[in-house]
Amino acid sequence: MDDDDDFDFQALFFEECNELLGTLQEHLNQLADGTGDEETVHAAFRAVHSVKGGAAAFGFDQLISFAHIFETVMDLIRSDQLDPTDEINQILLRSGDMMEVLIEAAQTGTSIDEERISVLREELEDLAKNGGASEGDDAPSDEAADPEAPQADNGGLELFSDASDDTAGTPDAKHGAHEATEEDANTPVPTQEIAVRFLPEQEFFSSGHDPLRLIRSARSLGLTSVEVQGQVPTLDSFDPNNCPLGWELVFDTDKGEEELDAFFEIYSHIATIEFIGGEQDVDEAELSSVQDANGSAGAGDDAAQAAPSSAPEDAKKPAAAPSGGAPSADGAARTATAPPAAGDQPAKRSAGSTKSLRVELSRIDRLVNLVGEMLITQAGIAQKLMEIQSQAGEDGMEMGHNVDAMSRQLRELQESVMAIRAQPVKSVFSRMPRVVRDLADKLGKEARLTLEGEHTEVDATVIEELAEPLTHMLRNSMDHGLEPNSEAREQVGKPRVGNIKLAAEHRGERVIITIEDDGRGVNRERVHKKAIEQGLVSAEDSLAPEEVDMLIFHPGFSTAEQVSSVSGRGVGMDVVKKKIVSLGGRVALESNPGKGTRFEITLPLTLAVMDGMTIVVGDQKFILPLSSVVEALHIDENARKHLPSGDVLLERRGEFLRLIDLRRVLSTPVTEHEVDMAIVVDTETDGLVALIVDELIGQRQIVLKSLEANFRRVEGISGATILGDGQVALILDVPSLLGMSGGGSYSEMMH
Amino acid sequence: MSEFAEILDTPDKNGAAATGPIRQYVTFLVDERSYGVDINLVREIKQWTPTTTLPNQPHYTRGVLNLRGTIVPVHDLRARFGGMLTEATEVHVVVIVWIGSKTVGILVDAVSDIISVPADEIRPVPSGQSLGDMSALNGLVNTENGMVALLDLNTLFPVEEDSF
Repeated sequence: MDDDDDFDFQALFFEECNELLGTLQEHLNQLADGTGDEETVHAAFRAVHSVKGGAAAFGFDQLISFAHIFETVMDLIRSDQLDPTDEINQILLRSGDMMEVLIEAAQTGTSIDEERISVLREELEDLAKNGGASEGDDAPSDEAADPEAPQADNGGLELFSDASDDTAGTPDAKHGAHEATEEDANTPVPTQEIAVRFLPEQEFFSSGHDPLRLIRSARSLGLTSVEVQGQVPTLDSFDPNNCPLGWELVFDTDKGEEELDAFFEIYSHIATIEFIGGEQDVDEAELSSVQDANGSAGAGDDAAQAAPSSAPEDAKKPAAAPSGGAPSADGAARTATAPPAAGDQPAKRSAGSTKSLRVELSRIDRLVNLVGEMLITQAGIAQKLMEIQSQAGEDGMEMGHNVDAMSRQLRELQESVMAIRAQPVKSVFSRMPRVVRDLADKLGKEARLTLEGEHTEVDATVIEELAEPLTHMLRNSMDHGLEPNSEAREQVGKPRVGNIKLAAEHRGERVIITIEDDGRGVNRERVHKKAIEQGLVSAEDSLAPEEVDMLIFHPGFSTAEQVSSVSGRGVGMDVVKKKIVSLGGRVALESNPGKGTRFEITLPLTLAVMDGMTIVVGDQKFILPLSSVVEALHIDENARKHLPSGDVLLERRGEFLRLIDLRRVLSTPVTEHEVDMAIVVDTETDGLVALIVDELIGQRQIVLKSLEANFRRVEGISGATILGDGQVALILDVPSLLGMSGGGSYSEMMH
Repeated sequence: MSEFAEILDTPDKNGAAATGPIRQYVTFLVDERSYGVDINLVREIKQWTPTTTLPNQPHYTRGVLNLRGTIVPVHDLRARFGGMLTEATEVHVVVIVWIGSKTVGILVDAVSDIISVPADEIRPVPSGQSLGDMSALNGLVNTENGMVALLDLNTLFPVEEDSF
């Protein structure tokens, strides 16, 4: 794609796809759980359809063809011709996953395992066939309803692809035609004459539509004649941006009216479409068209916008609707049951009513950064003011008050800006059912994932980082938490299907994420034995059960005797813990043998700011994440114990802690004077350690800055911040510092 | 060096009329020697301010500084070319440049000029000679004020694009 514009559209498409996938999977999950309603199926259908529409514009063939068959099945379900059994729901869920795979593949340009697709596709095709066959009498109309959606696309497709390539639309159109002829062979359908009046509104041209294309693509639907209506105004009043003309299109077609309606649906927000004459009664036809547009609430954004435009008509219609022996029975049924949902939808999504707007994340990031800058500047002013306040007298006092007020306002501003960037954890949670399903297949276990608190909002920066650790933890729960198989569960009197709960909630300034399974709990005996084997603990150590549990977070610990494809790949819980800690969070574990395991992750709501402890090492200031600081203490010379290995320990209330000289680790110039200040920090992975520092300045909120943006990752440093005086201070990453101090101090001694 | 002496006779001003596209370079001095960087890559020029040292930084890196809210590494050009670390004072200058997508500062003694050079007056760097680290140079240009070595920033200070 060397064309920039095209590239942008693609990026936009994929962004939309991600949202649509989220919607799709959410609704499919609801369907599978039986918690969905009428609207659930429609929403899922729309999501598939929208992805397909977009994919068609870019020519992602694999995606289109899969979405097509998927959509066909969804359509059968939404028109009640196919009853979504558990089995079918499973297929749908897997199809949803496949959509994701296909979209990813389209995005990255990689190829996909053809076999998996074709297996799934066959299953879907079977469903499509069975659904159609099960209703003997209605067969013709079913068949007609079935290609409805794809046909709808031909219009859109033609439009899209015409813009870049005049011929691209035809294959699909042919495909549609082909389908139709096949149906003809099976069940001859009498053709009927339908006339449609098409009156473009003012914005028709400026929205990029072209009546000629519409008419061209209408040919594939059996268009027989076109008649122009309206007058071209005189030259002095002629506005080339407006379309003064309308058309009356007459079709002689074997397809149902709803199909034509679907074809015109994409124009419905920008043109008045009336069904006139034909075999059907005018009123009814028109009624059904409006209802259909509302009932299906649009195959995508276009139609979502369309809904409001047809709303006035809608207002007149409800009275008519119940009496409606409307021709498209399912269309009427849909509207009858779904109007509230359909009504809500456009209000939420329509671009016209600005209840919400879509903003590029980078713009918000800029805002967040700017507020961060202001906080720094403000801190600088406050600092300076402190210095001069004593001499400034009354004026200084007043200024001090002003600066205080500004500081409060800035905090508030910052909170508001952060709130803009907050996202519900749903965006990452909704990916997890797929993880569980995949694993269930691989491990031969039955499991269900329940999500709770998906609407809990967390800063976008945290959300991004969550997917990986959560996936790991679910793997762990699936692989180690749940019993090896359903039989084993039944033997201990548990339901066959394992239950894993993923929940999120706010607690103060932090978010708590819990992952809970109803499996076996941590096998303490085995963990202990393994830990002894791996030399993590000695056999004589008597550990409390909780301490044994915590061993699973130890680096290098893995109980997996056989390396399964799921976990035990050397990526253990320690990695999860490291990740969480690096985000300024903590992990806790609670295991109940035989009953289950519960992990609790506590995370800050944002990664943009954090509370830090400013310390001085050598001639530089550093920041320690306050979440890891346990206490500051004075080093008593007697408390220092030297080990033969060169390591130094610090005795603290009967405990021995590793004592690490930060000046050495950070290779800052060593000041000669002996320092006796140490800060005890909790590394989460390696317990408590004591860090020798020159000075402790105090705690403050800091704005996180990336070193990677312009440089690269630096071992031992998780990021940087800017102090009130404009100087850069590095934020220490304690766990990774430990690794350095091991090697670092040793090599120093060798010199 | 004799061939360069000849080029000296065609100062860059009148070169414009006769020869291909004109390129502009910001030139600066390190140890009395002149170096040039494509003006399009220069973001700004800043007075030296003390930097924050990074643990285990490359020997020629001076640490990071705060450029209006972004953290920018600063490299010492003298040290990069094998010299001693610059004893930076307020008269020293940091040239902020783009390298790929990253912003990087280069510590030099002073900024001297902006020169316009027709593309075909840029001479290749003689290879196979022990002239030190020559791969980091894009070419050589002669000007009224002597030879300018054009820097290849990507080779000089390779940046990791975000790949992990």
